[in-house]
Amino acid sequence: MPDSSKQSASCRPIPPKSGIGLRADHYSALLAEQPSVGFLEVHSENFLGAGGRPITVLEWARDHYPLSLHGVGLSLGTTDRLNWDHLQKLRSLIGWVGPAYVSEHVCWSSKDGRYFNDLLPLPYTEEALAHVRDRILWVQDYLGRRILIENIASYLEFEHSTLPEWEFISALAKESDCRLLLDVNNVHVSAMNLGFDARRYINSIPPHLVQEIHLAGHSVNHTPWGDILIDSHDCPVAPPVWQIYSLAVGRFGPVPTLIEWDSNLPSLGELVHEAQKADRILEAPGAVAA
Amino acid sequence: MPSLRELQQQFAASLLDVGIPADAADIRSDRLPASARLRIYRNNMFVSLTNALAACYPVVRRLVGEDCFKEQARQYIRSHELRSPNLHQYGGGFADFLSTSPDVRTLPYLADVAQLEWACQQVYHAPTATHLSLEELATVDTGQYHALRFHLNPSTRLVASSYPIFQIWRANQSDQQDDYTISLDGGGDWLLVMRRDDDIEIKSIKPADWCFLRALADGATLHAAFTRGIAADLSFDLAKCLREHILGRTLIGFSSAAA
Repeated sequence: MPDSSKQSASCRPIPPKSGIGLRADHYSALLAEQPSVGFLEVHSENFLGAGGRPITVLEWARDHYPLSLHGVGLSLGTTDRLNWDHLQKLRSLIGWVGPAYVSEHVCWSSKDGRYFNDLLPLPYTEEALAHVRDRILWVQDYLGRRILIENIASYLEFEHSTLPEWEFISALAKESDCRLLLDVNNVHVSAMNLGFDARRYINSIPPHLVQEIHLAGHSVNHTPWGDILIDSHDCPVAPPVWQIYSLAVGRFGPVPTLIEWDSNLPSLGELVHEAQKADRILEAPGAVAA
Repeated sequence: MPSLRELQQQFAASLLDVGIPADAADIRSDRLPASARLRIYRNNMFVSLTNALAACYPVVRRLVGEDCFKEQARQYIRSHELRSPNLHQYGGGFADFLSTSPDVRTLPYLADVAQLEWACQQVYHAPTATHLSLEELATVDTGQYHALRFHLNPSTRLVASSYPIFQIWRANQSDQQDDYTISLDGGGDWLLVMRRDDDIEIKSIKPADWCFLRALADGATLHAAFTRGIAADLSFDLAKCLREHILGRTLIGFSSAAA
């Protein structure tokens, strides 16, 4: 905990509305404008420092918005030991922030203690399923709460995978009693890169498992072998992703939805405007984002 | 079929070393060959870590230019592992790396500028400390003063250079439009970096004060630190320096030698 003055926070529930990320570039604008959004999502790893402006702003944010803590560094799927030092910091952060949700990715990002700062894909096998399931159980046990797990964007798959991703993440959620953070942009990106049907993916996920949705912009890399979509989080959400989102909201109901925008950031006002497009679909799932 | 552990070992090896073929990691080749698919991850890793370094070292980047910065970052990432999921801890060795890099030896001050930028980043995320009052110090028996060990505020760093790095740093802020001519022979800098109201403040201080604070930071007693101050400048004013840095919250506590 950064300093002794911080009290444990009580949790504000997240309404079924859109939210935005808490980004350093927006700190001043956020405090000044206090936009009306359903929640703020916080990258846990950006707030593990002991003090300073990030902590001051996060304290303010927790008093003004419902929050979710979203992790990118837990490396749930690694065959290394779990990073208990990191988990301890996360538990302390959860203690004083009081987030409604705590989420992580279904991936691995470290090996032999070396971190790659990227979300690396797992083979979808029974072995990996059992491995990650046990990790999620340990993490939930240690944190004393349920977590959400998120599907990543993939650029490759492994020869020996035996399960489609939608079965893998659904089975993980069922067997570890966690819930899903479904990233609709990632579903689209992976579907285009790996050649599966995004709609089949959505329609295969048990509706009660999905508690949050992510939307983001992607970029297109032209290669000699055809286009590859990159989960770049640096532009508006693409039209096909809005369409899949509409399908998802129809199936999963109105669930809190985050617009992820991490680089090439627009003004806070523009970001909120993008989030409001999601609100219109949450209110009427048949609607198409303008 | 590789085990999960073997697969991750192979994948990590291929990610870091272009010489290791991607199909060793059991990656499927279809419309794209496995090597092209793996390259996307390799690129993502280098780009994201380069961006992390660029966020920490904007002045170094401006001084060397985009291409040179990318190349220095690439070499640094190859030789310096990220050992924690906390990116704010990555890049602490960049100043040392730059000081030995032959590509940037025409900029002899570059490593010291990097050291200043790293100090700013450390200070930005450092804990907030309570402060020390002069009254607290007044309760100590004056006969014990020489043996006191003062504690520096965790949100301060001391940086020194034989080049005018503060001027170089200021001239290369993104809002700085003026053309500067900076003489490298104009003497060095003795800097105190600290956080005030969540903002970073860089202050040029007297060499003797710097040496005194450096000694305290290293755990020296007041007497030993005073010796360092006076060695740097015979006119070093201990009482004035101590008062200034207690009131200015550079010093936030003390312990007696016996404790």
